[in-house]
Amino acid sequence: MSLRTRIALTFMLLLTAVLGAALGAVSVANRGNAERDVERQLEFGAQTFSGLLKSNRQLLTQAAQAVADDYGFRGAVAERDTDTLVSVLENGGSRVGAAMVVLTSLDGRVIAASGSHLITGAQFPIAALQRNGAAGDSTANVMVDNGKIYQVVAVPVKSPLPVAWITMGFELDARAAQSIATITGLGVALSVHSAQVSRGLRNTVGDLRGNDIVTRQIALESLDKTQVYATLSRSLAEARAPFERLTSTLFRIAGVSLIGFGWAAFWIARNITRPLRDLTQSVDQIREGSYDVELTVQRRDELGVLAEGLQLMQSAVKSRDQSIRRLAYEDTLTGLQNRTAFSANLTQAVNDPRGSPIGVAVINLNRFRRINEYLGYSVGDGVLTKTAERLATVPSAGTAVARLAADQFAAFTRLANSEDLLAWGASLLAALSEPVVIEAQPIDISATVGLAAAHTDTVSADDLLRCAELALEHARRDKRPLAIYEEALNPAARDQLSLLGELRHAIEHNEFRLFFQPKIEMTTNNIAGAEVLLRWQHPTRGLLSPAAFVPFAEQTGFIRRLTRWTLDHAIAQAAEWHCAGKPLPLAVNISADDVSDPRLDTRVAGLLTRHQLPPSLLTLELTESGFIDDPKRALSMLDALAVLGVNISIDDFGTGYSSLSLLARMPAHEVKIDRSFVQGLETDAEYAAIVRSAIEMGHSLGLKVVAEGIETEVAAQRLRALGCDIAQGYLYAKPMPLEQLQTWLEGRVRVPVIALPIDFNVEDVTDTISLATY
Amino acid sequence: MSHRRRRTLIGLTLLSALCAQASFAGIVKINVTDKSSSAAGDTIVVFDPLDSMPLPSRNSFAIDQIDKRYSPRVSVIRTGTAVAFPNSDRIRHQVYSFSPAHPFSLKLYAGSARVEEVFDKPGLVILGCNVHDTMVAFIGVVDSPYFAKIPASGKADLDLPPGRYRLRVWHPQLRSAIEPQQIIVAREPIAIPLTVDVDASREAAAPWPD
Repeated sequence: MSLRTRIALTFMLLLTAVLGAALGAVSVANRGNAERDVERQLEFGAQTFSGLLKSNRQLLTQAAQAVADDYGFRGAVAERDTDTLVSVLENGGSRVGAAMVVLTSLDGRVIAASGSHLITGAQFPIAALQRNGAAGDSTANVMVDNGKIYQVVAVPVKSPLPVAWITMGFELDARAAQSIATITGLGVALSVHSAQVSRGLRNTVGDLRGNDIVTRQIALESLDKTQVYATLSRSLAEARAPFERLTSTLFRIAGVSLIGFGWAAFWIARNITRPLRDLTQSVDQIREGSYDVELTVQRRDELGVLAEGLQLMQSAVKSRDQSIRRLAYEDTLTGLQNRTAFSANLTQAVNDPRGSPIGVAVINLNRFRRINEYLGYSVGDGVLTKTAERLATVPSAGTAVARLAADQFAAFTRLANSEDLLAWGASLLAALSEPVVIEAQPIDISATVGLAAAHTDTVSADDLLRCAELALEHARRDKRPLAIYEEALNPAARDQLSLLGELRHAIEHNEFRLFFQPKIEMTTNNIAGAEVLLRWQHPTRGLLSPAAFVPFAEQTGFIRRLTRWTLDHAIAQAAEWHCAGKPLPLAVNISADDVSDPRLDTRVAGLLTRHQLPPSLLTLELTESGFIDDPKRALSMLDALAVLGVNISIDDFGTGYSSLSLLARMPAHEVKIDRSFVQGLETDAEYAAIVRSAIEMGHSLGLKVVAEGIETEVAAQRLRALGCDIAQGYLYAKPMPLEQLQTWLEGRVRVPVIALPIDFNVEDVTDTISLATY
Repeated sequence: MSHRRRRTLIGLTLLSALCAQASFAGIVKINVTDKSSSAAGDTIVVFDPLDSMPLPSRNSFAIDQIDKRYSPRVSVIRTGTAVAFPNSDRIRHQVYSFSPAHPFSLKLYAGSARVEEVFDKPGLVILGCNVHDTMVAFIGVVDSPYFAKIPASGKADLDLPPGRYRLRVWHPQLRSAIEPQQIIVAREPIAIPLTVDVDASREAAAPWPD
């Protein structure tokens, strides 16, 4: 039910209830009033009738007394002068209009009469009259004479003692009834009943019969055996009529007011709800994302205020929406699109079936870290901004330029044909060939570009972008300014792309597991630590060893994320043991690509701080190949790591071709002789010589020597004899998951470790820690 | 008129003795009581001689008017008696009678102006005052010289010559008439106890026994 209907209905129901109650009360009261009125009228009528009879009685008494007191009359009575008596009686009666005057002896014999059929000597019921008179009853004495009803009184004739009675009476005829009826407004009827005959109603005025006639009967004192009644009547319907008129008037007023009120209620409700409905529509529009809705309700009331509030809310939401969009899709520093926006735009472009091939470029700014380090972050930011500006000027790159990461940009364009890709890439490089001027200082910049192209609707945007990223990796590895991902469209590449996707999925869904292979101190057979090895619990392919995915990860640069993940979990585990009072040094492998991550040291420091692990309990194992690309840079990173107090181990020692001078400059703590030499130790004399000299060289450089891949007791004895410090291999223990390791460790002695607390500050720890993804 | 006979108790037991002792005078002792045995004053007893005998001369009589009352209220006189109506009140009275025995009317008068009426017909005369309705007097007019109005004591002694008499008894408020009785008076005194049934509420005068 709408608000409007509800408001209107509520008011209507209230009014109806009030009117109903009022009308009901009035109706009931009126009905009662009418009945009470009739009762009152009848009571009044009875009293009036009684009063009339009383006054008649007085009148008659006075008139009769006047006759009785007359001296001459008394003389006539004494003399029984009948003619005189009759004339005096007539005279006395006519004074008050009495219809009957009778003179009787004390024993009730008629002496003389006027207006009566009684003859002299007839018996007159004077005794009853005397009796009733003595009782002093106000009710009139009535008698029926010759079919007529009389109200009579009797007074004695005294001379001086009673000698006779004068009875004087008025006839209660139609005129008398009429006068009562006129005074009281009631129907009046006089009736006579005797033992022999009921003569019914007499002298009736008004209606006495009917369903709604209320009557009151007054019994009059009768002198003989007849019974005389006066019946007063009133029509209830007649009495009710004025009340009913009043009630019907009230009902009409109620009806009219109900209609009027109902109309007004609906009008008011509509006035309230119409702006609400308008506002609701506007709010719906806003909800659907349109923020330019006109919300002007020209009212000064609460609805106006609400509209104003909504208007303000709309503009607030609009500006917030814009800034959210900016944050979501825009790089705040350069104003370029971010990865999300770029990805979305690229998807749109790729999915357009009518379009020409799409070329994607991922541009990496070379040596950007150096700029930041040596010239400061503000200059670095300036370089990025200028770079963005330059890229934006490249024809046809237009709106499709984005900054993907710190020093990595991307752009896509529609190509007239696939061959134009290289030219476009070159134009991007050309845009970045000139030095940028920051704070009046020209700074040389250069970039590496990875390119990929595809016909629309054949690859996904993400795949295309990843192809370009792979091309970039290739270019950087080959130290070329530009590389094109040739196999962008062949199935093998697609498999690789899907592997990359799976790796991402795996890291996001924690599909990697840490395995531990113990390291044994050869002189004591005590536990010196464990190497952390990565396993992939693949949802369909089962448990995969690093050989199945690490080379690919290294090739695609994904290894950095993988290493970060491994470091985080390994450090957390080592910290847990340390915290439990059972420290066990852990060694984690890092790749050459990891070492080239300029923030590796910061990350490691952040993780150590976050998990509160003493750095000496962590060893980073790095292969010699890690130094081949950029030895200087690798050395400086190793130095930085060594400063933290972390142990550095040279992995696969002997397989690389690094110079001894480089080896000497490395801040390493141990070398690990490659398993191929160890395994050839027993059979190949050359290998034995290499192992011996490797051990000697390590020792002479002050490094501990670790032999891995020991599978036989013979090899172990040889190595022990050669002075190898630490052994690792199936002979001692296979790589095993955590639970198994803990069982394995039980009862075994550990080499004591010195765990110095962290003595560095990571200023940007929060930034490091807050890296939710690896 | 009702003829129901009311028992009048007369000492009939003495009658045989009385008859035997005829003499020239006998004392009749009358004692009148009402039904409650109280003395019934204002009763008139009349002894009508049934034998011829010398009668005493007539007397004069007076009925005074004191405090709007006739005094005496009840009296009995012999026919031919002149009755004076002195007025001892300071107001005026108008004495009248509509009684058939002697209807008359005196003019309004006051003081001692001596007014006399001669009542020469036997019967009951009821006197009223035309200006004072409450004033009533009863005069029994009888031919016999032997009568008495019984005083408040209810007792009266009459000295009657021996002989036969008809005894009439009347009281203004007698419930019903008493039938006259024959009485024989001898020389010996006799006692006649009489009981009268008085109706105190009676307004009209009891019928006069003729």
